[in-house]
Amino acid sequence: MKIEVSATRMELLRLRKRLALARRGHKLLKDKQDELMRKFLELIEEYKKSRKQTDQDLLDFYKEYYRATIEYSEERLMALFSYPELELDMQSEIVPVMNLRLPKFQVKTNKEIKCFGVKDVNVGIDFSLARMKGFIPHLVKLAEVENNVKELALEIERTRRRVNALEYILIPDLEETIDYISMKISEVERSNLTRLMKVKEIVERH
Amino acid sequence: MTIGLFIAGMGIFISVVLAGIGSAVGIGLAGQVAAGVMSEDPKNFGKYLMLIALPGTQGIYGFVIGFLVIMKLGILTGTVPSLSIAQGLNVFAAAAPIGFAGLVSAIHQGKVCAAGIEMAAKQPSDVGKALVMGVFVEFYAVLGLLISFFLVWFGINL
Amino acid sequence: MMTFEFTNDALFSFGVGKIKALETKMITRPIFDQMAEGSLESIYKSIAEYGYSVNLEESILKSKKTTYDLVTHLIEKKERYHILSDLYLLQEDCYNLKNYLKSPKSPVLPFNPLGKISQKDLQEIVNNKRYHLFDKMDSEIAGYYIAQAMERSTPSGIDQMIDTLFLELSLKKIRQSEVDYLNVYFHDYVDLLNIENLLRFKFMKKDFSYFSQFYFHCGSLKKRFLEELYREKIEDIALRFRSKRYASVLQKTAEAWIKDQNLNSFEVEKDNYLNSLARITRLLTFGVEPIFGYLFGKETEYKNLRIIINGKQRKLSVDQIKEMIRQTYV
Repeated sequence: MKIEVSATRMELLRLRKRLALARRGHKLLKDKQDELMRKFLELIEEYKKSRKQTDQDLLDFYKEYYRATIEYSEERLMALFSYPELELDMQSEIVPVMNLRLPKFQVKTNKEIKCFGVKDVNVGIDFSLARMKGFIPHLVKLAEVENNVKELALEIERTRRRVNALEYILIPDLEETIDYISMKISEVERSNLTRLMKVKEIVERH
Repeated sequence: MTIGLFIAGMGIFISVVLAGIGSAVGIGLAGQVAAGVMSEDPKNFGKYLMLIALPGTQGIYGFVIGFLVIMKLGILTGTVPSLSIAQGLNVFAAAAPIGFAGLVSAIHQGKVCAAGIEMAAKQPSDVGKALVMGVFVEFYAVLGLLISFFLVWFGINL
Repeated sequence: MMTFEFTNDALFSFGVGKIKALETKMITRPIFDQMAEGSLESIYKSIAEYGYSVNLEESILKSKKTTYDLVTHLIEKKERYHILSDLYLLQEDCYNLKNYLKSPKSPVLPFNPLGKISQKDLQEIVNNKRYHLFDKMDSEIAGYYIAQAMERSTPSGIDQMIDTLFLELSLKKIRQSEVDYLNVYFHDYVDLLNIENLLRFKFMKKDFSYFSQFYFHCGSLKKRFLEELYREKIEDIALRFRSKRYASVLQKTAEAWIKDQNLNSFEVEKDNYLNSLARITRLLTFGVEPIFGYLFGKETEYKNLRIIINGKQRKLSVDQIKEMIRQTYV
């Protein structure tokens, strides 16, 4: 759709400048979108792998844990796990990707996950907890990757909307308006010319 | 009263008291177990009754022999016999077997019967088997009774 | 009072008779196996016949209470065995003590009402060091371990100290009572506990010093001997114990470990072995032992009930549940 502007040469120049800017912006955004897409695909692969790994870990853990705790009452289990000793040492930093600020976590487990004695405690409970301690970093990693994938997806969507807005609305509109104005101007020029020619004829006749 | 009569009296004492003690302990044992079982399962009293009563027979045997000796000595007629030491020892020896056999066999029979009651508590149909096992112990008390009886009946000549 | 007794057997004959009658009301292994095959509803229906309701924990608590009361009442007869009546209550007291030591200010867990020591006394014991309230005769041992537990202050340290306290006191009481059977039972129990921990930490790849934090010294296995075993393979460990009564436990565990690298079978085998010790008392006609055997048998029954109900709720397969059901007392 044509933009409502006065069809002057001044306006034409301004619009041409805007068009050039829009084209450049479009190209830049397109490049950004491609880059984001590439990052996104990379992350998705990582996410898939991490998810699969964690699912497997959790499945193994719960299998062992369910089997080990089958002979305990709820209350007894509460007594075992209510006073945790394990400490998670979590460090986070912000990594810039394009215009995004993505968090990156580093987790270290110190102390033992074991927070109960050994009498009347199934071997399986200890084994399953040791397994759990092993995959706590994976869990944090999964959370990190999942968050990053979400952020990237949102950013890609936003960028694509901008690219599309430039590509399908602003640039065609500007082009159309420029065409219109240049046509209008040449029309005015032509009418001026004919008028001049007419004036010249009248002057020559006298 | 002669020493002979005193020794004969000791014989009666041994046969009645030792066999009686044996029976009392035996019944006590079986009775306590039966009471414990019946505190949880009061229906089967009849089944356990025979097993409780079984160790009681030794006491009766002892009493029978004691009574026989008294009859033999003629104390029931009101006369006090005068016995020599040898005759007294004779009576003592005749009455002793049931006394000792009764004492030991009754206690052990009490144990067997107690075990039998515990068995019957688990499988009430097995009460017959438990009774048979008790009767095996009874057998040796009966042997003691027989020997005492023969000795008293045929062995004492006044 | 002087009592004139021909035989000691008469002491507990009433109690033993009662126990034998009660044994007929316990759940047997075939019934447990049958339950494992049925649905959850049918299990609830069949345990109702034995006095357990849908609210399993509540009915177990009730059953525990009646069992403890009964056993205390039955062994009251002879003074020498009075010390034993505290044994099973001690376990409940230790449970409360652990929870109190771990969070003295705001208790996370409800107070267990089965123990002998009231909540108020427990606070007195810990806060004002009045250890004789915990155990009149052995207040020194109690004091020592409670102080140690407070010093260690980590939950696992507290658990370990109070567990040691429990075992020490139990063994002392059992020795005083001169009931040989209980002595054997507890020594084997502690030994198997030590072996279990050895295997546990060995396969968790911890070093020996970590294991030695959890070593119980009241058993018959010496620390130096265990340190030697710590480096050996499981088959060799099993061989080392081949002359012990519990040799088969370790042998089966070693076989299972070589097959699929897990120690689950050790738990089952250990419990089955201890239950087989408890089952011996079933063959005795007289004495205090059958009364304790019944107590152990009841514990196994609760465990089996939990296994079946939890197993069904967690949708484990029938074979898995059956594998875990312990050998029952009757």
